[in-house]
Amino acid sequence: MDADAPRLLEQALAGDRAAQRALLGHLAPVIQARVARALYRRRVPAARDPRQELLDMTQEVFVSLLDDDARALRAWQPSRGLSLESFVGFLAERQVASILRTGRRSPWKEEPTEAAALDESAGAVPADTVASVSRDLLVRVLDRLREELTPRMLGLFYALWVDETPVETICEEMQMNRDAVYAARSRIAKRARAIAAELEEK
Amino acid sequence: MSDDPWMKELGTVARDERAAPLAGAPGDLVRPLSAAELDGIASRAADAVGGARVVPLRAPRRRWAVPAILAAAVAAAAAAMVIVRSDDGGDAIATYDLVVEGGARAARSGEPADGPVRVARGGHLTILLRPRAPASRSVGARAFVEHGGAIDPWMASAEVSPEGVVRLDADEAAIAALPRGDARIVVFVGSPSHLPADGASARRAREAPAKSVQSLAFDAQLL
Repeated sequence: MDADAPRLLEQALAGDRAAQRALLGHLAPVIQARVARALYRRRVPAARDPRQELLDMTQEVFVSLLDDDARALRAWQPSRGLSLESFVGFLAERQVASILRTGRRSPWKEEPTEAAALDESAGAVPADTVASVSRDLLVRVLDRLREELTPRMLGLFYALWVDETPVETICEEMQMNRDAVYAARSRIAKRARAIAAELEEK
Repeated sequence: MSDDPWMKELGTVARDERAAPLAGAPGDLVRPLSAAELDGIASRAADAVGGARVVPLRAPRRRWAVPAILAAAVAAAAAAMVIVRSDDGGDAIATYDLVVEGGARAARSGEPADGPVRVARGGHLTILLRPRAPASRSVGARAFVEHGGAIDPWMASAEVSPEGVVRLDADEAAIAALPRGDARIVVFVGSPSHLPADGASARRAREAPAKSVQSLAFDAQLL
């Protein structure tokens, strides 16, 4: 964030419409990038106007940030490792993934999968079956993870398996201890396998 | 980093997606949003969210059934339960009572307590705020953590029933966000537009309570 961004965020949270507009301007490139990538991956049907889809999705994401007295934005804590832009980017991924899968708008009002609930997942793909898992299935598992995980858990997924960040660095950046990182890693992996099992059954 | 080959493959897919160029995407997707488009989005979004949302209070979910290990980890009392009352005159909100669930027995404001609410990582807490009279207007709640002279927002999620009962769910992530050792949880309840938004405004609200907001607090200890 630039130097004025914290003040801008505070004013936006207080309901100042001008500040909210300025905040949107600040966050729009992040949101647009995530929305555009998701829409491009899904190949928006030719019958639909891609620009309008982009605008609608961006609006949905911004509404989700401000809804319920800006509950989502207020959940962001700079001390927990994610920048505001990254945090909003993960929220945008989740919002868009859910809309594209379900076709429903404002899915934010549904509770994301909480960390504890990840343990309750039934079914799993054994760890040694990687060779038999298609890339298409992995893409769909990834979409579901984006949809279900909280921004912090999704950030952890990216740190662990996408950026391959050392656990020590994650602990430092996300203000977590090693046990918490390992526990979250186990839960995310377990949930990912359960999602794969669900998708394979369909 | 994990050695799990299946998750490594999933990470590779995510990495490929992120690195894939948008060069082939329609220009309509990548052209930056114009000022007029942003104006429209901001305006419609502000209209869409309107006032504070009041949601039905859900029945307790199964995850709130306290497992034995959690019951053992959470102490049975809330020490130094402090209730800071706002000015009750005029159009002040109804007086609220606070109950903390998640231990062997509930901890309640106004009752003798023999220690902080103790909770281990991986545990949960439910904080219920009940008005002594049905709320006559919309209320919201926001939680903060006071520790080492600092006061910061706490990520416990709040739901408000039409009668004004507030339920704050502190899940595993919220518990993990607590500082190790002793801390004080401060919950503000009242007019959504007057709730403190950050640590600085929370501190001001504690020092000079407004009529429309009440703050309640209890001591917690992360094991």
